[in-house]
Amino acid sequence: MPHLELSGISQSFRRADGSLHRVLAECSLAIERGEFVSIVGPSGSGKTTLFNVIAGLAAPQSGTVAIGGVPVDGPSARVAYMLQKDLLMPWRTTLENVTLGLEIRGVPVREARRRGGELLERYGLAGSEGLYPGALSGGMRQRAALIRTMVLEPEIVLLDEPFSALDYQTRLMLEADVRRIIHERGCTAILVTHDIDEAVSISDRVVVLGGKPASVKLDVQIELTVEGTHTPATAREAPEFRRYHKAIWEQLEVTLPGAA
Amino acid sequence: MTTDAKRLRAALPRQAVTGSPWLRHAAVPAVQVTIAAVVIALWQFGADAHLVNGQLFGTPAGIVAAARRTFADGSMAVDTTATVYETVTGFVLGTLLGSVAGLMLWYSRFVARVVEPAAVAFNAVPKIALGPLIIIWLGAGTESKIVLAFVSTLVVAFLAAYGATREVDADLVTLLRSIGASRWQIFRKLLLPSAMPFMFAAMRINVGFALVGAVVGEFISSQRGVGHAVFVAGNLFDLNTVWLGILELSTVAAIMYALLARCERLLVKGRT
Ligand SMILES: Nc1ncnc2c1ncn2[C@@H]1O[C@H](COP(=O)(O)OP(=O)(O)OP(=O)(O)O)[C@@H](O)[C@H]1O
Ligand SMILES: [Mg+2]
Repeated sequence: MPHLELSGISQSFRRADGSLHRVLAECSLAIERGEFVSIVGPSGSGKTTLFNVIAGLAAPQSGTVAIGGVPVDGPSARVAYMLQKDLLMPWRTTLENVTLGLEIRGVPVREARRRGGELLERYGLAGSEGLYPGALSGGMRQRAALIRTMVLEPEIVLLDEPFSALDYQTRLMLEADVRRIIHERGCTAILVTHDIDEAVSISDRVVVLGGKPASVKLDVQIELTVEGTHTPATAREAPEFRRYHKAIWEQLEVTLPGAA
Repeated sequence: MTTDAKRLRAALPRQAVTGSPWLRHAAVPAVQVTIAAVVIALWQFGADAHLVNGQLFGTPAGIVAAARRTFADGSMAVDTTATVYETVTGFVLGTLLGSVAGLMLWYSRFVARVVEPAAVAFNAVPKIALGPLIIIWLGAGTESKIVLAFVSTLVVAFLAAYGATREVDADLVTLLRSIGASRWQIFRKLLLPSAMPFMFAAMRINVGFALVGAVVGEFISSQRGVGHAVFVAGNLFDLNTVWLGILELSTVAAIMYALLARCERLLVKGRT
């Protein structure tokens, strides 16, 4: 049984003039436990909309989402959502930000602090526990947001362009961390990105959304021959890299408006 | 951006700063005190030399005498206590009720849309124009002054809190919802702390409004209070006592600001 199964998801929004704006049409996708899948697609193709449906924040117009065979009908503790903005609360210290979700789930404060502190230490933010977000760099902030996500011990992690606001170097570093952490914890991950290089180098599989309304245009398994350990940097050197890049780019180009 | 600027400043050599830290911190108050002393001395000298009409402007010595007199006969204590009581009670009630009502509108977009135009319109009314009405309804006692201070602060607190609820980051709400937060948890963990700076800004404005409300109420009709003392002294052309009242009111305002700043430091964290 797939870990996450989307069957025939359609979603529409009502425009101001009352007409229906169809965003997603019959999207189906099955993701196995432990898979790292990237979703790419033009802006406005409904990637965030799809995430909101998976996270149980919005019911789809039609279709079903099932996690481990159980239909989703609201926010679930098995899914964690990380957005593009780090969304750290400026009035909370790094540690307090990291334990936010545990607090909401009713974990006792001391237990929450212990777990948060442990992950901060393990993932390179030791010493920042007591700092307010204003004193952290962009990369540190996004790392804190990642830890806030992972401390909830989700089975499925939804990453909505979490790297897009970072500079290239920080980005490669954080990509490597995310990939390693997700694998280490045996999570299933879905990453939305506009960066094809990022999608190919980090994922086991890339899905292209396109069309109006959007549906799955392409679904490729990524198999790279990487020398040494797999990192976003070494993966970009793999001989197959360009081929995947081209295949995805061609799918995207067709759906780009005004591409002649 | 700001953190970069901060780091840059930290990295720069400090040679630009000269002198001992004590001197730097003491310099500003020292200059302020000196200027005040010079002005007071010139004023007194001018009055003594008949260059300034002491009858029309009062004199520093006269103000000191008025202070001694009102202190000795106990009226200073009675009047300031009355005004502080009215101001603080009105301020606290107005701030609490206004803020709670404003924050509550977050729960209902519908009620918010109904209430907002009325609040904006009421905000534009100079509240002291309600003074005669309130005094007719509630009498010349303390209650009418409290109510005037209360209505003077209510709408400012309300609009600030309501405005704050609209500034809340929608993505943060999404994040909290995805974690499974209830509406009450979102209110407590997100809305309240992010509204705090807005509410403190409103409170700083409202210190002045509450004082104006109480004092104007005392002007219109009262038996005691700093406003009462100033009003009576003004009618008698006792300018020294008027000045004394103004000094007392400034002191009350300054103390309230200081207390407010302390509360803000305790409650609003992590902002630089
Ligand atoms: N709550 C909503 N109400 C109305 N329209 C919406 C709503 N949410 C999304 N849309 C519309 O649905 C379409 C898809 O939006 P979505 O945010 O899912 O795109 P996206 O693929 O995530 O884009 P981007 O890459 O820019 O983040 C857009 O046209 C958007 O205007
Ligand atoms: Mg999006």
